[in-house]
Amino acid sequence: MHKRVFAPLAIVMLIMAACGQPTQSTGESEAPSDGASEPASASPGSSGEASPAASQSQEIDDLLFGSAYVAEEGTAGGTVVIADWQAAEQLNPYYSSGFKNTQVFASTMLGLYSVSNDGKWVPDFAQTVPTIADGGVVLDEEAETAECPALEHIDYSLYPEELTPGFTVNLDIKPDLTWSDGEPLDLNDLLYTMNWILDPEQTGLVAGTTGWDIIDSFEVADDGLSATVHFCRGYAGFYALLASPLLPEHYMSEIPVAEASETSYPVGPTTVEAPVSGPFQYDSVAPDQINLVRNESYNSCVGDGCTPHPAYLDSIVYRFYADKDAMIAGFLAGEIDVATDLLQGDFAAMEAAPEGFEATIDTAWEYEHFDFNQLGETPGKGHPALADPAVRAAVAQAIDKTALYEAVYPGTPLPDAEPCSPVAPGLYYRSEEGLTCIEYDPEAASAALEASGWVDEDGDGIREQDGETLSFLHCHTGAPFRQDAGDVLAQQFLAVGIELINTAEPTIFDGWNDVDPDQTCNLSRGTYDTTEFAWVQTLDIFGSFYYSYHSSQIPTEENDGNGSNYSRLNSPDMDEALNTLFGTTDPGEVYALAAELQQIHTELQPEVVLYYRSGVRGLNSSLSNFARNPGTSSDMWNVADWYLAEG
Amino acid sequence: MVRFIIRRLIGLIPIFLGVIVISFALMQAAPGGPENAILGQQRRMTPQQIDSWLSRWCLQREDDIFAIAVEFGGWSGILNCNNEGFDRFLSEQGGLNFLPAFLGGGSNGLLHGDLGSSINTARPVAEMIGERVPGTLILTITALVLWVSVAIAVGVYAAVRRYSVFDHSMTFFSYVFYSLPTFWLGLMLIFLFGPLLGWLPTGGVVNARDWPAFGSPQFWGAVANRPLDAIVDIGRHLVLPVLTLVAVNIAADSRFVRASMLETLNQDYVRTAKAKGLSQRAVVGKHAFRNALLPLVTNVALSLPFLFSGAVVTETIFSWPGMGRLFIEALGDRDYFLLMGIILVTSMIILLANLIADVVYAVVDPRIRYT
Repeated sequence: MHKRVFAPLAIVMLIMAACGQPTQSTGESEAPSDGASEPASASPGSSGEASPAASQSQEIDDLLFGSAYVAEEGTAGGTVVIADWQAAEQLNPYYSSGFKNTQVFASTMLGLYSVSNDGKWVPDFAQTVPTIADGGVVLDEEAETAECPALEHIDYSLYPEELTPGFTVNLDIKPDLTWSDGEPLDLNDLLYTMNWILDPEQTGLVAGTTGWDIIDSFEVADDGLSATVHFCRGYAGFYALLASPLLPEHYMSEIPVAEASETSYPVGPTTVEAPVSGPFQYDSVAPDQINLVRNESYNSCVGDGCTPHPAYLDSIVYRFYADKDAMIAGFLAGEIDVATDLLQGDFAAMEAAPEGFEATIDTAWEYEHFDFNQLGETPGKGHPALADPAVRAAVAQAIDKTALYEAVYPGTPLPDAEPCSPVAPGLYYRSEEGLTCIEYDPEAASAALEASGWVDEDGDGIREQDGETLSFLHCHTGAPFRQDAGDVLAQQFLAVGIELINTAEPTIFDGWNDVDPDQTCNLSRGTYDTTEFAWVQTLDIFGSFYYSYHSSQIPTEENDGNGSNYSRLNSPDMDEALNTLFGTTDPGEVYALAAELQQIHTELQPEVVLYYRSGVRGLNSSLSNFARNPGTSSDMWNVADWYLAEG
Repeated sequence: MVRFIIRRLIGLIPIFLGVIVISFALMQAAPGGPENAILGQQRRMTPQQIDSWLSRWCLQREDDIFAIAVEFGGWSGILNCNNEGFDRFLSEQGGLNFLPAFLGGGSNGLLHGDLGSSINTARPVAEMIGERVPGTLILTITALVLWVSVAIAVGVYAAVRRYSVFDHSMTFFSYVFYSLPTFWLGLMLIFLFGPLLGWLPTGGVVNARDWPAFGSPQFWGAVANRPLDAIVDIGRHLVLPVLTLVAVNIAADSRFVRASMLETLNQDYVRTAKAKGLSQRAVVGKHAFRNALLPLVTNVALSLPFLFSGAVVTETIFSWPGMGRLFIEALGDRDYFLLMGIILVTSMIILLANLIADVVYAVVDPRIRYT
């Protein structure tokens, strides 16, 4: 999404990842919070044990705050060319999503906080990140009324029925900040941004209004440098919400809100005139190239205890190729300093980097998974067998994940972490405690299927029961690595008597209203048995889990096809945990709930985690202070610190 | 001739209208609608917001004939989308909406020069098309001039030297290049001349590091300041895409010229010219070539729309910001207004190209007279 991670946007991320496009960058393998062991070492136990006092422990704060990132002092000058094989379409962060747009915003439109390369909240325009421990976040004593006072616009149907206590956040911002046109920048701009988001004339925002609409009080001090924000309900995604980019009131207020999606920050020449807050400003904008130059008004920095400074680089060029192979060729020819938006399947091609350049591969906050459609209707629309947990477990046992990875990505290093938890390595809320990890065991899988009544009666190698064969329609986007994975899975399943019909369908993610109800291989319509795609995750576990696993998010006629619970998981346990998560503010409690959610997930097996994905980059070796960011902040999260070392 | 041209131009109007009406109807009849295209951007819109957005463009949720007619009315400028019911025929000034603004008409839609905004980028369609035209023209004019010139030269020489080593070689290479998929040839050329040899840039119109974004006002300003640098840099970037287009397209046209030339060389008047003792150059150049050229005129005229519509695959492979790439992007994004804008302009050019071909016939062949 945006550099400042919008709360509910896991949905968006999954769509992009499903298209075979990485939507974020990867993390430093040596980063302190990277790896599966760290959250486990801070295991909070069950959610019921986490008292507010305990949750404010140093351990939790260490996981969320206090990045180890420190930038070297750089030398001014130089131009860096950043390439993507998809073009940016919108430069207003509230109307657009996707890595291709995000990386541009990250250089121009900032917010109070950012997510660092080691997965922590760090100040951007803010002076500090408020916490419960330091009194920056204060929880209300108890839940008040069923409705927030004086909020007529709130859509309570979006929120869980259970009331949770509200909370207050004390905000601050660095002094003497200005927009690129010299106008002052302070917390009044954040207040304006909130009001702009909630304006009834809005024509649709990628992140919606969830979270903003439960703010019942936003008081800015006279000097604009501090503010007090009160949420009338608990909300787990408040950091991401308050990290949203600021919009310039003096510019946006001149544009009718109903026309803002068309006239504010388009990928066109008029955007050059628009004020920005980041270290770079627009110099020339065209569909296939965006040139940025140093914003001389920028007087900030990202990270704990950093020293404000203008960007070191003179300029940045975003170059958008129309074809991934052509972009790789451009990198190999030395035309590009930073090649982005690549996956582990591209690593082999990138390894032939010329002298002075390098290809890197790092774990990303995303994972590839094999899903079961639990609708239980008919084969092709949720095979009835997949409604049986024993069959799902047996299918999971039949998957040799290591063999699959090695077949799909020959010669590419196997990710370190064992694929089990539905949370990618490096995310602070990843847990390995109490997970039900299913190991590869084809004999046990065969026995379990046998016990469930699926036997091969006619000797054709495929099991049957009551005239129904154990044959699954397996759908994916058609990306080569998924086609290959489907072929491997089909072979592995055949060994236990399951037929997998490997089917590529590029429109698999088309929306509910985009396709006929019976169109084969559509996730919204549930016209498949099994599928493979990827989830891209953020530091906001609410956004990462709620829209994918809550039963209210199953696309149906009643909800007009909204939601991305494509596996049709309908579990009271999962719903209850997610409802609790929705209204939980305390990061310690959120952390505990995260562990519980991962346990529930692995027990229910709505999907089998196949492997954690990696991000591949091509880099000019002279580029210093480049710190790979596995989150949606993109690698440009610290672009002001980048500089070109001599030689 | 003038009367013929005017008559043909008038005759083109109903054809043009038919093309855009059918195109619009087909597009609207396809599954999903503009509202799904905008929702496809992942925007979270309430039903009221969707209705409000649709209303601004006279778009309907229904897919029946009436709904399509209303949508067409809005897009074309016959209807005023700000009003409801029969009032939609009226402009804000109170006159009939389809009339020009100075006669009390409206300001929206094709009739008033407004092609709408792209659903995907929210930018005016005319602006988006306008900024892609220079790129396409630079590429396609260069390629077309080269491939037609080379095709003529090769075709004529192969016909004159029939069954020679040259003729056989050209036949062989023609079929080879004709069989090569453009995307494959393009990528091979990129990897050969880019990473491997390092002689030529791999894509784009200019060196991104040295120039403002191509097509932006800042770019043209920079070109005005450094015209020679711009020509040299664009020239370097043109080599590979033009080579790709020429290699693939030269095959068909050279074979065409060869066949036409062979037929002409067997005509009695050519034999007579030879019998009169004219030189080979005079026989081929003056007598045979001009007549052999006639069928090629049709071919070239039909290629004219390519000048505007662009070379879809080549532009994509070489990241060339042209019309072909824009069309593919619009198609993928179901960007209805943008697609209609491109179809509109392309169909107009196709119709005009046919007219030009007819006129050129008369110029090339003195026997043809239009009355």
